[in-house]
Amino acid sequence: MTRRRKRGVNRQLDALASERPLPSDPGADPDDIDELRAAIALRAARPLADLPSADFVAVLGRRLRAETEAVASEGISRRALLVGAGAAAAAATAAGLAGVVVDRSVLGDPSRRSQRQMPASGAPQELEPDVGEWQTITSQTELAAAGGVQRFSTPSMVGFVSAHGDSVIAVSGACTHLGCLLRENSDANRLDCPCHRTSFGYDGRVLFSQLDTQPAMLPRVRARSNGDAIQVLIPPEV
Amino acid sequence: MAESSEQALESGGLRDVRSLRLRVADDDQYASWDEIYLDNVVRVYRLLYAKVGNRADAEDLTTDVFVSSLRPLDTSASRGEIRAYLTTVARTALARYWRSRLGIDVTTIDVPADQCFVDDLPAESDAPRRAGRVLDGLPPRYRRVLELRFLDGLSVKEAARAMGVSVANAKVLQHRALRMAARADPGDE
Repeated sequence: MTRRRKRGVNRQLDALASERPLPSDPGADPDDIDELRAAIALRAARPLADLPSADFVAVLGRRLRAETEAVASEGISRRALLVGAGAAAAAATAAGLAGVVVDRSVLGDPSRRSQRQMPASGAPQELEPDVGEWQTITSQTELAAAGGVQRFSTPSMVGFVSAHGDSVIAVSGACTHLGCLLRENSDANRLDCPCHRTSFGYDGRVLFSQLDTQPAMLPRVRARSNGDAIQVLIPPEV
Repeated sequence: MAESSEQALESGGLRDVRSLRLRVADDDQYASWDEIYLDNVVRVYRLLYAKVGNRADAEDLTTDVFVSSLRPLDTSASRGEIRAYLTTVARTALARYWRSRLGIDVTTIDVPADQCFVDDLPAESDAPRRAGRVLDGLPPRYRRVLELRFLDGLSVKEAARAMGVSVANAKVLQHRALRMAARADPGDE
């Protein structure tokens, strides 16, 4: 190791020993990182070191309360935005069903995201084939019998359709990471990727992912009820 | 795939997505954002402190996690889902932190992916026990320099004086001791 490299890790170790924020060290090598990791473990092992100060908890709590109030007062315009999104709107309002979930921009980089910013990428990609036709993939009755979620497969795509109140949502059944075909995990109400630990909600949102860069939401496929039939807009069979 | 941790997420084999809200038991949900925050702030902070080892960075990252979760998080999700979500965000924030501090992706100082699926953390941190074990396994002088530096917070100069060695010597001891400690506790890979 060069002396210059050591200078970086030395500054970091000094910062840790005196409880100062860590300076950056772009020249760190694996040995340096090991040293840093061992030093961090020791710092965290001091009694009560890893408990937040009461001040910090109070200040952040106040900030979050102020922010939640701001979010609540924006509720109306937010809803208007969703309605404007057309077919995806009903789906998006129903998205709450799937629980916690987020889109890629949020998970990817929380700090760089402006707090006032509307979740612009909150609306999923919608598949609009150049030439599409409404194809019946199941019926309300069958979907209900299947527990509200069904896989469908056509020559052009695989996907999952799910009932959300009065509306239905259809999403692509291929993981947005590397394209593995998702499996329904009905016990957990989600779609699991068999390749890398990643799960999507039935509405296509990313629930969990082991990947450092969160995969995109599953693309939506336009879906509708037509009498008892449930149909999706997909390329015609040739 | 860790079956048991996956199961920990579930709110009880719900099959009908339409009745999810109705069937989730009340005590499995948070009443408000405030409650989410108070129930999780210590948890998230500890998780992060254990990986960054200093208060300022742990506070910044904790703030990041909660502020950026405020909008996307649906407060009616189950307790387990919300915790798993916060852990996932913390993990992402930490990965970004290491990229900015070291210029590369560091996977050895990370919240293990498994932990994103675990509903709860142990009430007590196992960091002291783990560090104690590591220190016990080191030669006395290695152990001493690490205690002086990172438990007592002395500077290299002060540690050198306390040990009766030169500053250069204390530095070398420190580096060797840290590397040996790292090997003894390879972390959560």
